[in-house]
Amino acid sequence: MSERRKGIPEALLEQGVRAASRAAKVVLEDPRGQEVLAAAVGAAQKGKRQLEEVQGRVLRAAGLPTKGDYEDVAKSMARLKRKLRELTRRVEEDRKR
Amino acid sequence: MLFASSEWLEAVVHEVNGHADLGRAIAGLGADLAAVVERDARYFPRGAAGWGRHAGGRIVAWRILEDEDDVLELAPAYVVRAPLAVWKDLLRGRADPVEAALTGRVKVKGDLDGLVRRAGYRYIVDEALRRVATVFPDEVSG
Repeated sequence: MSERRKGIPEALLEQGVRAASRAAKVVLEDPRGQEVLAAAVGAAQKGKRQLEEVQGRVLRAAGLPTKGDYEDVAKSMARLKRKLRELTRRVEEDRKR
Repeated sequence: MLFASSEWLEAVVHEVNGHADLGRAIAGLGADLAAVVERDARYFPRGAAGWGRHAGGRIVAWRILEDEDDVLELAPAYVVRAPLAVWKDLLRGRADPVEAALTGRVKVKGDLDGLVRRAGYRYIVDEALRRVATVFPDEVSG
């Protein structure tokens, strides 16, 4: 089956991304460019973090779980999953003896 | 050596730690990093992840995580995540890491500005990977 032909918006987006990444590569080759790009990325991330903090305050005020709450739950689940895996292994080893 | 195996990670870390410029490259970066191979029904049904922590200018602790979700518990300073095919393209030199990050083929979590500032040190990892003969699971017969 032939690959689906890309639409104009997709093709434009792909070309844009390629041009941006080529530009980024050129910028990264120059230490000053690296610093400028790093500062821009840092500022964007700081803005995102601030937005998330505001969102979190609003959600908390409304009695709703925040992104941080979900992350805490995911972390606890991962810990439980690991402990269960370790216990299962121990039980299997005991059974073999 | 099989990609994402413990012996493979050990060999890569050994090569990276042997580089004279490593201390300069990682000074000031977050303490640890996890590189995640996303879940893939055929080769990595539980995903795979390598984790490493640096101190004193070298990587001092590292291990392959049994389950991709272990990354959530460790909560490392940086998480770099991509499917197997993308890791293969990056390690074989067929894809550029900058382009991969910009196009979202590689997802990076953590303070990106620190990584961008150190993009010039990429050769340390490239040289280490060139010295370690890597076989991918889709290349292993049988």
